[in-house]
This record gives sequence, C-alpha cells and structure tokens, in this order.
Amino acid sequence: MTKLTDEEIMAWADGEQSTERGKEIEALIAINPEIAARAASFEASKLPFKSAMDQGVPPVPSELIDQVAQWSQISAGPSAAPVPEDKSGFYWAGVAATVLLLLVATFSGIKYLDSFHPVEKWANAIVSYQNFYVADTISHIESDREAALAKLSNLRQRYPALPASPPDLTAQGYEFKRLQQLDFENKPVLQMVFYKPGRRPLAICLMPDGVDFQDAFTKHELLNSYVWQSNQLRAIVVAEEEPKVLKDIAKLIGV
Amino acid sequence: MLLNNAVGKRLPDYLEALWRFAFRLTQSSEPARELTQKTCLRALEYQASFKEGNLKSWLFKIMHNLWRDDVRHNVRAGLKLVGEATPIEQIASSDNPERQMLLQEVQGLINKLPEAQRMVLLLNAVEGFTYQETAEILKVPVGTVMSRLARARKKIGQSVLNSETNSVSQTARCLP
Repeated sequence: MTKLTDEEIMAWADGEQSTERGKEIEALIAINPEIAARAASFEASKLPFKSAMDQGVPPVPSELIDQVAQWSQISAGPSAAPVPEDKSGFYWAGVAATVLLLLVATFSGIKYLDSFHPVEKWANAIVSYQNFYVADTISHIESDREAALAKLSNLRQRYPALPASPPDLTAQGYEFKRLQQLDFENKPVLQMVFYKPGRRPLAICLMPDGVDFQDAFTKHELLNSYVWQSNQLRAIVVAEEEPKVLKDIAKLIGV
Repeated sequence: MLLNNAVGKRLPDYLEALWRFAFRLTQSSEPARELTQKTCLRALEYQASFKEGNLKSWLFKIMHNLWRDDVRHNVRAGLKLVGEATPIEQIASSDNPERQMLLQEVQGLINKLPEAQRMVLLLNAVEGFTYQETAEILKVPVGTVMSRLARARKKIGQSVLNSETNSVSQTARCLP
C-alpha cells in the first residue's frame, strides 16, 4: 500500500498537489477507507480561519497608536510623525488648558513650557519613550562604561558640547547601564540609562540644539522630568524622583 | 553612527497586525496592549540588527518570543491570566447569525488546539505567513510546521465531523 502522509492529504484538500499526484491520492481515497476518513477530516477543516479569528478583536487603542507614533518619531525622524488634521474642539480645549496651566504656573512659581513649544514636544516624546521601561528592562544589562566612553569620545569630535563621560550617580543610588544614540527629527539624541533597584530606570538625554528655552520641571503620570539648556545642548533627565534630585543630577552633567 | 531607521519609520504600518496577533495570543485587551508595547520597544531598540527582508515576520518573531517568555515566566511564578471575557463572548451581534455562529465555533476549535498547533495555524492560516516564514518565526524546521499544521487541521476537521449537529460544516458549505 502506498504510504500517504497527512501533509500530502492536506495539500490535496487545499488543491496544492500536482494533477498527477492528486489523481493518485483520489484513487487511494476511493479504495482505502482509512485514507478516505483522513481526507474527509481535511476537507472538513477548510474553514474561514482568518474571519473567525478576526471576530472580537477590538480596534487598536488610540493611546497605543499615539505612543508608537512617538517612539517611532524618536527613532525615525519627522516623516513617521502623525500630522494632526483636525483643529476642532480638542484644539481649543488644549489651548484653554495650556493658558490655564501657564496662569497656575505663573502664580505658583513653577516654570512650564507650553505644549506647542518644540522643546516640550521633544520632552514629551522622550518621556513617553521612557515611560514603558521598567527596572526589569535594564536590570540584566551589563554596565559597559568603556564602550560608552569610546562612543562619547567619538561623538564629541562632531558635537564638542557633549560631556566626556556619563555622570556618576552612585550617590543617588543609580548604576550606569548603557549609552545609546537615538534620533529625533533627524537630530542625534544621546541617551544614558541608569538603574536603581526598586525604581524605574533613570534616563538622561542630550541633544545638540540652539533653541532657547527655560528650564522646566514637569510631573508626569509615572515619571518626572526636568529639561534644561546649557552650552548649545538640550537636556532632559527623566526619573521616578523629586524635583530637587533631578536638578542635582542636572548639575552633575557638567555641561 | 546613526541607528538603522527603517524599522522606526515603518513600525506604525504594522501596528494593527501586531495588535491583532497580540490579542489572538493573549485573548485579552490589557495583556495585548502590554505585549504590543513591549514588541514595539524591543523592535526599536534592536532595529540596527534588522537586515533587509520581511519586516512583518521579524516583528512577529519578536512578539512571539516575548509572549513565550511571558508565558514561561508566568508558569514559573504560578500566575494565571485572569482576563476579560473571551473573544467569543465579546462578539457583537451580526446581521448574519448563521455565519456568526460558524465563526464563533471555528474560533472555539482553534483556541482548543494545543499551543504549538494553534500557533502554527495562527501564523500560517490566519496571518498568511508561508511555511518557511512560520518556521523562522517559531525557530523550528519547516517540516515541523507542516506536521503541526496537518495535526491541527485534522483535529479541527474531526471535531467538525464528530459534532452532533454538524452545524459548522453544514454552515460552511452554505457560505460562499
């Protein structure tokens, strides 16, 4: 008796066998009840699998779309960024909220950037990028200070304002983990990540830039951020820390 | 040296496919959202390692690896997913109740398969990956993909034939 595998019968049921082999299989089905039973199973399994599995899948959450667009923008430049098209109610609500925020900020003595400022857009993108990282994301990574120093040395030839080394944050309980180069609107962003057990990772990002802006502390949902400018560099530290700690860390950058 | 930007630029194009696959894997919104986020971050983080080729299958490979690691971790930790209602329960009413019933039954049959077979069926028959692509995503030989798919299809076919009412096959035959 000719041995017939299930894979061959499945291919026959799906019409993927050659004409010659297909005829051989049909002949076997006609004379062999066991093969006929297997063939009947495969025939019965020709079902709308995709439509069935599409059932009940909700649409992609809008905040996930926004989040991925921001991450994508950080690493891919402006072409990947979504362009807002509708300046209807949400736009004016945003304007009103910003005005209110600025009024509150003025009277409270806290400095904020308005949400349309390019630095704020950059800062929000950085914070969003950091938001999803948890301690477990970097805890296992071997700290490689030597590689970081070499990379910084290389980058400083082009961007001399960058620091010569990552800051030492051991006094704050953080261990340097890694240095990476990202990209934001076709500009390089240097990201240094630090680890402290029990806390979300701390990130310092630096970008060569000549835009003037004021230092600003911002409290986000999970993390806080502090942006400042120094020596033609735009800088931000993002961490699960209080404003004073963030400002002290900013001073340590030495730029 | 700048990072390879190809992944970052094209990632939003694949978000919907990733979300759907994540939902099919986890069968619940919140874990699906977390898995999709992790996948996108991992892809951006390692985008320099992506060479020319099928970006979709590269992204699915990352998602499958992360999901498998999560499942193993949860099993080790003794955790069990307590999610929302299953997709079948969430299916909205339809203008075509007969087709609706068929789709629900088919989904139920797929979700009852052993995990290895379900995964091959999802990637090949639902997502449309070739045997070769499916093998690369799952890091198994092509022959294994084919045999798992055959076992899955045979099991589903037998269930259809054995069902008392035969409603699935009868309905399926009535459909275009």
